[in-house]
Parts: sequence; C-alpha cells; structure tokens
Amino acid sequence: MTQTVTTSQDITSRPAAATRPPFWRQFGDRKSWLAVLLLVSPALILFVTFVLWPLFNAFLFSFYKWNGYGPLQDFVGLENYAKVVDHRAFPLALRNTVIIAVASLLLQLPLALWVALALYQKAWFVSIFRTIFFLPYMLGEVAAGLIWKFVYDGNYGLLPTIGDALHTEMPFVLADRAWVIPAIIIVIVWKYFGFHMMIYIAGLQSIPSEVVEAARLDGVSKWKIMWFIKIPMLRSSIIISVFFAIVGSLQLFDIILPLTGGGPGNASHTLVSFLYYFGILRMKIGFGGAMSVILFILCVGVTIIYRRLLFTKAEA
Amino acid sequence: MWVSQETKDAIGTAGISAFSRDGHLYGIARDVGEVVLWYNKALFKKAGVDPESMKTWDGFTAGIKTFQDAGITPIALGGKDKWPAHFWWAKMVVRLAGETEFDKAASGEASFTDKPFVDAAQKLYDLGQMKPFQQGFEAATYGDASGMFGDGNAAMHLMGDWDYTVMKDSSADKKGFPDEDLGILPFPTVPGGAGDPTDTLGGLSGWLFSKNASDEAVKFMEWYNTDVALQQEFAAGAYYIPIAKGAADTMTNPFKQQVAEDINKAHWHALFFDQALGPDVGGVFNDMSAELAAGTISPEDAAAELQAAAEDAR
Repeated sequence: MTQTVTTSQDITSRPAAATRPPFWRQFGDRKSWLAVLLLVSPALILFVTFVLWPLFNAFLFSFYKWNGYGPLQDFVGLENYAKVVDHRAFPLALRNTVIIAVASLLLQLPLALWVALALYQKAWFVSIFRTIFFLPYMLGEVAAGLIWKFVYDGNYGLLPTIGDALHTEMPFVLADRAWVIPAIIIVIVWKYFGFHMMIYIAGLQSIPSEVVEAARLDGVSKWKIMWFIKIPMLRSSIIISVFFAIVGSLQLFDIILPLTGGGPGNASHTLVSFLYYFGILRMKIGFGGAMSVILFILCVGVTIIYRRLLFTKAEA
Repeated sequence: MWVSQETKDAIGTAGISAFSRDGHLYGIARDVGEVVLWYNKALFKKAGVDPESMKTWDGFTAGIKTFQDAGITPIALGGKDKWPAHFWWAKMVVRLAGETEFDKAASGEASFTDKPFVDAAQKLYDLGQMKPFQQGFEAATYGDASGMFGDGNAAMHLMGDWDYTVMKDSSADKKGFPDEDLGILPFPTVPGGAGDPTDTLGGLSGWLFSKNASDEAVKFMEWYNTDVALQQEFAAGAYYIPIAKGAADTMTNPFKQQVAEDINKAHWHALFFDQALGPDVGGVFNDMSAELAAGTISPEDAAAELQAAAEDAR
C-alpha cells in the first residue's frame, strides 16, 4: 500500500482520497466492526502471543541481569548491550553475517537466475532438473548440516577422497579459520538457490509471451531479450528474492549448529548462533535479550530501508 | 530435604557436599566418574615410549615428541565440543592450584588470574604448540575423537571412565582394540604444584528432588542408591561406579576398579569445572580451553576472560 509512505499533502492533492472518509468511518456501523473483530481475532491472538509478547519480553529482559529463573530484579540499564558489543566473538559473528549476506547476493542469486532462465520453459526433462535443484531446500537444515559435516570431514569425507584422486592434500575445512566461512557459503548456496530459482521461474512464466515474441520478430538477439526484457520484467521477483536472501542471512543459525557449532574457536559464529551459544546456553537471558533486540533492530532497519528504496517504486 | 545418617555415611562426604548448597541437601548421589588418561599399549610399544616415563610433565612432553617422530598421533581431542579440551586445563589446575586455591578463586576470595591458573593455562598452551592432537581436531566431536582412539589411531585420550564403552562403540568395527592393549596412565605431575598427587577430576551423578517431592520418593532413593546388593549388580555389569560404600567392591572390570580406587584414595575429587562453575563461567572455561589448545589466545588473556565471567556471574 502506498499510503504508508505518502505524506498528508499527497493525500489531499488527490481528489479521490479527499472525498473518501477516514478508514474507521468505513467500518462505521457496529455490525461490520463485530465481523472484523471476529475475523481478525485468531490472527491477532496468535500474533500477540507469539510475536508481540515475546518481543516485548526480550526488550524487558535486555535491561536486567537475569538467568531465566526467579524474579526480575537486577536492573542494569544498557550494560547487557555494552557486553554484547564488547564480547570477543561479536565482531566475528557480525563480520560472518555480513559476508554470508553479500555472498548469497553475489553468488546465490545470479546462479538461481541463470538456472531459472534455463529451466522456466516447459519440457519433459525440465521438471526433473527443477526437482533436483529444489530438493536441498526441502531437506531439513540440521540434516543438511550433518550431511555436509561428513562431506567436509578431513579423514573420511568426500573432500579428502576427491583430494586423493587429484593427488593433493585437502585442508580440514571445518577446522580451518580461513576455509570455514567459504565452506559454509557453499552449503548455503547449495541449500537455498533452489528456492530463489523457483521464485524466478514463477516470475519468468508470468512474462507475457507476446512481448518476447515481438522482440524476436524484430530480430532482437537472445542475449538482449534476456538482458533488456526478461530481467527487467523480473524486477519484482528479484526484489522479493533479494529481501529473502538478506533476511535469511541475518537469521542464519540451524546450518551452523550441526556443521561447526560456531567453531573453530568462534570463527564461524553468526549473529543468531552467537545469541544462542552465549545467551541461551549460558543462561544469560538478559545478554541474549540484548542481542536479540540488536538483531531485531537490524532486521527491521533493513526491511524499512529496503521497502523505501524498492518496494514502493516497484508498486508505483 | 532430610536423609538419615546411614544414608549420609553410605554416600560419603563428597557425594553429600556435591548436592548441597547453603546447608540444604537437594539430591542423593548415585555414582562417580573420573577423567583418566587412557593409552594404547600397542602404540606405546611401537613408538618405543615407556609408560613409566610419562609420569612427569617433562617426560610426557618428551614422549609426545617420540610419538610424532614415529608418525603416530599422540593425543585424540574432540575440540568442537570444547568440554573435552577443558579436561586438560582442569587437570592442570588440579595439579597446580589444588583444592584450596580453586575454591578461593571460585568463591571470589582469589582470582583466576592468579599464578597457578595462568601457569596451568600456559601448560595447555605449550602442549598445543607441540601440535600433539590429531589434524583437524578443532572440528572433531567427542565421538570422533573417541572413535579415533578406539580404532588405534591415537596413543592417548584424556577422557572420563565412560569412554571405556564409548571408544568401542565409536570405533569402525564397533569392537575397538583389545582390552589387554588398553591402559590408564596417571596424569603427569608438575613440580611445585600445590595439588595433591592423588587428586582426581570427574563427575558425580545422582537424583535431584523437586520442591514437591514426597518423603516416600526420598526414602525410595535412599534405599535405591545405598542398597549394597542392588548397586553391586550395576557395578558388576560395569554400568557405572556406584558411590555407595562397599558397592564397587564386586567390580570385575579392571579399569573401573582402578577408577573406583583412585576416587577412594583421592584427597580431592574435583567436579568437572564446567559443571562446578555453572553454565556461564563453566562455558567460558570450555571456550578458553579449546582456544588454548588451538593456540588462538594467550594464557593471560584466557585467565582474564575466565575471571571476568566469574565476576560477572557473581
């Protein structure tokens, strides 16, 4: 909805908006209010119980030193926030999250787009490939992490076996501070590019075939059709998938846990695994609360900036 | 919670104090465990290392070099799980600081940045610098390390007595190497350490009672945990080492016998530090141990991190 970003001036300048009654008047009679309440309440109750209430609690806990038991009484102000930022592992977790977000934008999305362009038309073999590429996404995160732990295992894994065949010694990637993040990025790209591929395929299929056909009749090359027609018309799909990629990277957790547990040392922690290991497992709920508030602000910040920049334009 | 004097006598002071806080008893201890230095006699023979020479720290480090020269991994370590690394720093603290110093530091009377703790950290750091652990140990879990030792691919493994069965289960053929090649080394002594050479590190498990537990529940556990005939059954089957006095006598497994004897003789049976210090400080102890083994933190910084966590938890 464009109302969220338009100013009051914009509204008055529009004749239709000026004559329209304010939104609450539209539900003026009691009957429709009752209907609204009745229809909205299941969603509202769930949203309040499982989103707003925990959110409020996390904010509250973040100002206390609290281990999860007993009354909240040790108010410490912003101390937990300072501790999060000062923690040994925090800069690493932040760095890794940013690297993973950038890598999924620069590696995963182009790969997904490329595969989607190859597979969006209907043919008998296409659905087989689509299924194969989409399978990793359907696999549980923990299962995927465990599988890749075996692949990377320096003694018995697939990687040293490939190394043997090539007569080179492969590093123990999950124990190596330089290799662990690239190794995780490979898993993430493998796991999630199929999801983005599906978004692009849906987008590509909704491009009217007349446009492409007309261009082709005018003698436009395949490359130019892709670059100047298909990709621009995919704009809204790309905006959605970029958004999912960024927010997904910010929340990355369940692959890290079985794969590395944040190790070696703290070298592969993400913001959420940092929150889990140093907040929840250590029973420092206040500390964890502060971290989750920071994460929340980051996510909301990204969402708002992103919406301002792209969503509104796309809908205009 | 109230238990009879007979129960207290049967369980012993260590068992009672481990489940007490501020004079209140919250549970009844059932069994004990000890962290021991398991070793593979066949690999010692192959490398030409005399187990007797490993009793002191200097002899131990010399032995590690001999193993490396012979192309044998000296020590298996599950670094990903971090708590296996904590045994090394903790055993060193038991040797160098001893019970009094540890209790003082844990309660805040003294600091973890005091000399014995930093020296103990230094020992683990120096050991790590010799690269005695298997390649990629930082990504290995306890199960990986245990299997590696069980397969006969590492000469030593510092692990709890429970590893006797786990090392066999985790090995490739589910059998491991034969018992006659398996031995327990005393943890090397360090000259000038304040700890008693008999001090042990390990666990103490038992049953806790909730606030609403009935007297009958307590009575039942008193009987269950201290009935010698019953606990002897568990001991004979080598399921665990019962804490009840006299119950461990029937154990036929020589390794379990030795552990029971060690703990009996111990002047101080230190509880795993990551449990004794609580989830927060104990967790930092584990993290720092893993980093010391990998050589990514200095002993001084590791001790300072531990002390900061201890002060924060207070």
